[in-house]
Amino acid sequence: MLPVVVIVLLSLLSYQYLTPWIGPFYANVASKVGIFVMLAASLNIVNGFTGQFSIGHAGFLAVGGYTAGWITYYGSLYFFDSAMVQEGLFTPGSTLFVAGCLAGGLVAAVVGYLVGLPSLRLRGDYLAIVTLGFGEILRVVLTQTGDVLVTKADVQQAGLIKTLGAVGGSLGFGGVPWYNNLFWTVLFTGLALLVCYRLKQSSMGRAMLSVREDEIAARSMGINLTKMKVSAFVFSSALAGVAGGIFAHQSGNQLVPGELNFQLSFDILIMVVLGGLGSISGAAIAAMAVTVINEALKDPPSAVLYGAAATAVVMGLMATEHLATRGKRPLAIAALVTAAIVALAVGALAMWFDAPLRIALEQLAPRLGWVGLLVMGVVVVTLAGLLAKWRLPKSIQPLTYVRAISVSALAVITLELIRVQAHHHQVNLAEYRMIIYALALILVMILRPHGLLGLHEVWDIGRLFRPAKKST
Amino acid sequence: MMRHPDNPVAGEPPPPLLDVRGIGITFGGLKAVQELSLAVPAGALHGLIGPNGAGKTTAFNLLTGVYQTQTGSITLGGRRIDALAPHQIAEAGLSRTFQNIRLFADLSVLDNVLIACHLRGRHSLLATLLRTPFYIGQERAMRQRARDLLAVFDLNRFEDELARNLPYGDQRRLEIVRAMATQPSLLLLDEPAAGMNPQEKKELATSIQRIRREFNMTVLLIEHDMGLVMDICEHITVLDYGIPIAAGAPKDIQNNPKVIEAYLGIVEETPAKA
Repeated sequence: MLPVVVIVLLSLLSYQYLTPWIGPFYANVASKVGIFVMLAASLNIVNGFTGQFSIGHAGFLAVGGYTAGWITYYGSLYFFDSAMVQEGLFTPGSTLFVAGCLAGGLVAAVVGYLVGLPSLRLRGDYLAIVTLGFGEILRVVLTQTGDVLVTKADVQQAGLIKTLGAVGGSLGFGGVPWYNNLFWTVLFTGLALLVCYRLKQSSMGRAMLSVREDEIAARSMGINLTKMKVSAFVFSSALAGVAGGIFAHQSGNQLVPGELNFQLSFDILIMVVLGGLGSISGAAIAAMAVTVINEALKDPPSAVLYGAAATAVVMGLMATEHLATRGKRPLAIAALVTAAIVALAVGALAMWFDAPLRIALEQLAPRLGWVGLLVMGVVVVTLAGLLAKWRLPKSIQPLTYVRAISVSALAVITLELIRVQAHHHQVNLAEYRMIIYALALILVMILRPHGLLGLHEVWDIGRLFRPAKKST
Repeated sequence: MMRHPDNPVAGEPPPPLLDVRGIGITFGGLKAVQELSLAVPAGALHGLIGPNGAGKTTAFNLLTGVYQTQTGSITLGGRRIDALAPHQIAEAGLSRTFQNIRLFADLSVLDNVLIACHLRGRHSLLATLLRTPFYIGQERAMRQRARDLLAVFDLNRFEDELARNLPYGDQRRLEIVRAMATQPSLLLLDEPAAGMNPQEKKELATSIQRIRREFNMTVLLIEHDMGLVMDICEHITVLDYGIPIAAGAPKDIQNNPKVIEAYLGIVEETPAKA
């Protein structure tokens, strides 16, 4: 019960104090991050736990979103004569919104069952094909729906069947009251993460992981493969449906079929794969990072200082693991703390020095032609690749750190060159973000095939500090 | 169910735990296993041997439902299992190890065993997510049982280690522990001693006999190492080219000319080579 109480308290706090403090713009961004954290965590159950490959997650988001939006919008029209947002946290209208989100989860679960059952009985990549097709079919069907009805009289005249289809067509489902705020986002995201974590820790979660590890061994140990895969898929769809419900009520959002497309599914997929297949905290962190990077790319800061902060974290983690596995606990803790402090300090410095640094570096741009940049880019990437794959003798530990620093330095230089050049030619990098993610995916797949965190959670680092078991 | 009859009627042998009658499978034109019959009484330690490619592992795959038998029948404890899916066969009380180790390599040793415990638990999604007292109690009991089983093979010290990091011999032992965690009445071991040194083989033989006694388990063993089989098995079936060619006590098997022929080739009828 305690975690639930903590989550409720956190949501109240973020509504009461955080929202006024950060202002409506950042509250809105925070809510969007929360929604993506939920989506990534839910997709992680299928792609991470059971090791299947679903690439139509936006479809389930759409199912949940349209269901919840329909219930709130037409419910408001029917019961309150108006779909205007009612002021306050707990109003009849927001009750309708919560009920709508839960109903959205339920409908998405049913759809997930219908999509999942036939495709998960088969082996291999059928699921990827079917989910891809499902997402596209749904998108096209949604564009063919009727116009949104705007008054109660219209609704009464149209009747239930016609109203069911009145969700705006390709123009989108406008008018869904924006009931969502940080309270609901934190509440639903927190509960979703808790539920995912409890699932992972449970016998069912382990059974799902066994499916991913080795299907033949799993079924010989009495695991019903189809049942496990379908349960995971239905559960994941339900969570995505709830997230969709919140998405539909998020201020500034509108349900538009054209935006709930493959691109969105792919964004969610990237979060899961980058963060770690099977890691809930990894998926959540990657969801935050990707959402923040999407925003940051519109006016990118200099990579130098943030890159240095990231390098400090990586180096600190390496040193921590190295020291902890050799039983030097105090030193390991010191390394971890130092890394955190350095990263925070450099990050804070970036707040002040980023602007002058950017201006200074941008002076460089006219001196580099595109060709020069291309050549430098190829050289830098090749060097980084060679360094990363360079086999080191085990005895020379310091070299690993030298290598890590050089790889990060090269990566930062590349990013910075691209940024400077893009700035000079007034190229909007946000439009090329898929290229950046694709490159990041390639790099992660080469260096860490199971994503940055793999199966681990962030707090697993605490395990390094536990006294080692006595071997007999 | 007559799994472990307490007082078998004198003179009339109890029905075997595993009763295999005339099973077989053909892959394309290759008759991998033909007309295989086996009767393993409860509590027995039964060996299945044969030269390379004789169809031993295929026979195991037929028993465990990886392949469906095309002829005959398989009965375990009075229940037909030949049409069941692998997980249903595991539920019916038949568990196995794999010749080429198939552990859940990226999961911890304890998790490997816990996954096999899943089968015998009662799991509802709601109880899992709410962490009801029943769920917590069951999880605790599962952990205790898994640790007890690991202790049998002295694998406790590796509990949190990833399965892939275990030494080879311990991986084989972990496979046996994992198979036992499904609480089988019949344990199928597919070349458990493969790749072990003589000392490890000796320890393995002791362990097998011990688990059989302590856990009241029936064991069917495939093995290449004739020494091990002859030492511990009470009854042996020999396969060659998918066909059972001999069955009986180890002594009879050792002297059976057909078996010698299968393993060593045809003995020429010339006095010089006697």
